[in-house]
Amino acid sequence: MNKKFKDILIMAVIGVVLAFPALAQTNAPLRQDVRTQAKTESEAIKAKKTELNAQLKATQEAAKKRIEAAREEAKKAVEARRTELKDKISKLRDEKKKQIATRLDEQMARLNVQWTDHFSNVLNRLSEILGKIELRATKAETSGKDVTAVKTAIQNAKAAIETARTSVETQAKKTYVATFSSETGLGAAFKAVKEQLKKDLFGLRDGAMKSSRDAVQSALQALKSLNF
Amino acid sequence: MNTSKTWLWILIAVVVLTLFWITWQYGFFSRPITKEEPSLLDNDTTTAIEKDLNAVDVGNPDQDLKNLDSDLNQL
Repeated sequence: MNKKFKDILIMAVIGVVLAFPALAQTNAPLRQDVRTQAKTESEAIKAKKTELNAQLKATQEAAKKRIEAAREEAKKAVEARRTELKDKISKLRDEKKKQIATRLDEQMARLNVQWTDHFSNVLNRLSEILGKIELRATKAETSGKDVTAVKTAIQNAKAAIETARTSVETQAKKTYVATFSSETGLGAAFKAVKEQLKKDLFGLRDGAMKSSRDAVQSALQALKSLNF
Repeated sequence: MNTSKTWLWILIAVVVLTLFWITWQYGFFSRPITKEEPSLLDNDTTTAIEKDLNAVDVGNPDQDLKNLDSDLNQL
């Protein structure tokens, strides 16, 4: 009786041991499998980050070269007019006006360089932030979230940034050289150039620059709506 | 009889340990695991990204242009 009970007990335990893994496998994946899957996802995100960093670096370097080329082109194009202006300034009788006119000419050229550099840096920063949004969206996607709307918003933002880069490049090509025929028209000539510079810089800031910032904001809003 | 009893205890211990290992391996001690969150490679949370974006200043060229006015008024 005792031996019979022992045999039944052993058989029952062996049966449970054999059946348990099969039952468990239908309900949950192996811890090892989950770890492998998480590792694969981490690697995918890491690869995406490397890809985004490389893209960012390449885009920023290309944009810098484009602006430098645009400035060089503008410098060559305006060379004759600038020489003519310097010649006219040197013929002014009033020494103080000569100094002021020379200074204004340099300041306006410098302002355009400073502000196009600033706008270009802002676009670089927006691209970096967009990269962060894209990386975060990739993480959300690997967690099973539907990121279609975020991806569309990211593409729109990329297009807006590219449009703004072209506008900055166009601005960098512009030159601001006063044209006057007599000393009496000197002030009006420089004021007109200053107004044109103001109109162009504000047009760029309130147009393409603002649009690109808004587009990145929209991408971020789309990301936020995932609650990830 | 005594040897048989020892043998039985060893068998039960092995079975208990096996069941314990299987239970741990399939994650039955914790909440059901279907998918682990991928480990974050950086701290770019949505809040941090928003903070970064808010810090972006497109700028205002107005002051720089106004600085030209004193010179312009002397021409």
